[in-house]
Amino acid sequence: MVDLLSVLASGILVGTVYAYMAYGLGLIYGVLRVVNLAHGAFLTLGVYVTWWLNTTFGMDPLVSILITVPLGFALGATVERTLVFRLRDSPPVTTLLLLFGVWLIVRNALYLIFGGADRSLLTSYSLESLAVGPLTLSIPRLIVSGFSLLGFVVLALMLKRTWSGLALRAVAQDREAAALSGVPVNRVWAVAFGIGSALAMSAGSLMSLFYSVTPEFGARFLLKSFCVVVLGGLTNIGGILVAGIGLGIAEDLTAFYIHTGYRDVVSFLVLTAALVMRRADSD
Amino acid sequence: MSSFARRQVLLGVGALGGLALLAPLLLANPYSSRLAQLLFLNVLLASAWNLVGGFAGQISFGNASLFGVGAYATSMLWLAGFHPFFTMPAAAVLAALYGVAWGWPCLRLRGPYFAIATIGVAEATRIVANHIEAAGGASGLTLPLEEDLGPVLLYALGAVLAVAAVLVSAAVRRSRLGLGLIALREDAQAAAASGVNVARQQVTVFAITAALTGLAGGYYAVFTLYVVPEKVFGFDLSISLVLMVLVGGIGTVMGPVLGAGIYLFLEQFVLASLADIHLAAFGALLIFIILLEPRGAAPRVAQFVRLIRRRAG
Repeated sequence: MVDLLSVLASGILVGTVYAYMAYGLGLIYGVLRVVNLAHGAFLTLGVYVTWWLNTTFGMDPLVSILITVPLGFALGATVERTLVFRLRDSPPVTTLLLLFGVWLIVRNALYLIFGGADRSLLTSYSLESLAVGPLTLSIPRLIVSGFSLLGFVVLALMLKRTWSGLALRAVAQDREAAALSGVPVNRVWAVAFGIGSALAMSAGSLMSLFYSVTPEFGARFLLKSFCVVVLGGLTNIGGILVAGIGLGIAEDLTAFYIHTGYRDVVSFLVLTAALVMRRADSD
Repeated sequence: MSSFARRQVLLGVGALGGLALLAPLLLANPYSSRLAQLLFLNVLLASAWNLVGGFAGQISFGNASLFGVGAYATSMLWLAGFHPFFTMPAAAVLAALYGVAWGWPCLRLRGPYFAIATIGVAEATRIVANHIEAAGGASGLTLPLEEDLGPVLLYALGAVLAVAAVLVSAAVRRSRLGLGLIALREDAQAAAASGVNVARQQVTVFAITAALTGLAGGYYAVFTLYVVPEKVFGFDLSISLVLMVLVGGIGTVMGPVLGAGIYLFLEQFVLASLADIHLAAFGALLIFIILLEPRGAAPRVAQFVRLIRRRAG
């Protein structure tokens, strides 16, 4: 029983991070109708930047969010302006392949700069844990989970209360109607791509607290992000949160009761099943 | 025999004859015969991918799952005592069955959704393959070196498979099935409304793709004598197919052949000297093609051929 409870608790904590990590992918798809295959690149880049700031300047990973967010925004907006924008009228698969090219380049750059070895960082609280009744919860996971929830609240407020948020939602709903009402659609696209990438990079900062990283880091988490976003509904914050937690729990149950090696199989199978069951409308 | 079929047979015999004439040159040393094997492999894989990726417009990032099934089918039957060449049909059939098993549900998805679903299937397959102890687990299977499987025989097998794949591709392109697929690619709703059985046509062509990809896997096992999940089920393999076809010219019969050759050349000669940046080079190439030459090299080559003919005639 205690086993099951601790598996559930750890699944929930990881699941909130999954949701946060995935949200940027959903936002970009919602607004631009583009599948951001470079999402994994931004996640990985976020972990590396955080790792580098920590090992060089001793910066706490949580503080480095202040750097990864604007950096992610700038990089994302640049990719949109220089590459994605040119394909605005092409079939979605073309953009997907283009962004895959970006991912390959980033992966290669990371190999050149950091090498292929596993990198991980250690903070003063990395190994701490908190006893709650019979459960032992890891402090980094609690913190990361809390920050993810906080991120969601900030994002929800931004989308609901600010003019930019309104513009984003308008373009997501109906691009042409938004343009006719005077929303600068081009700028909204760049902003959406920027926010999506900023979310991915800051998710990388959070994940650096309990994952080690290689340049291949992004692939696994890109697929998990797809899984969460498809299950949860592309831009539905609540749905994504539930889907993230669901995936976190399902993975931990599999790892604990079946085989640790099969942890990732769960997300891939759930992803495919979710896609097929939704029978997502053509293009 | 229709005139198309007659022409196909002639072209096939001609291509095989040409390859037979080239054989002494390509079999001159172990390296050149390995290059020929890889070229045949690439042509087979790229032509197979193009059937569903080019004609039907369904981009698959998961063909490695079919390749791996073929490679393992051949390897395991070989180790069980069958002659490697006779394991080929089994590789094709098993890969086709596996392809239909996941293609049937997934092909109902279109565009990016299908592409993502194929990544999910392929990655799940790779992880599971890593854990099957009966198939050697993560360390894979090493196959026996057999004297009678010399370079000449491997060359002949590869040439037959590659030429067959191109002929199949040309036949599909011309058939009712191919027309239906192209209609589907251009406008799925209109195709369905005009009486194209969208679901069945896609699954049919995907079964052909899968069988050819499985054959490629079997061929790969026979000439490398070593299969390991990270390689034969690997994502990199799936990606290289997409690149080959895009480089050569997607949705054409000769595009994949051209792309297979260009890719092999890049891989062997250009990237060998730029090993550190080969991922970035492929990424840059992908971006370049998509932004500037979305139709690949095939139209340019066709233009060139026409120009030569006009000069000559």
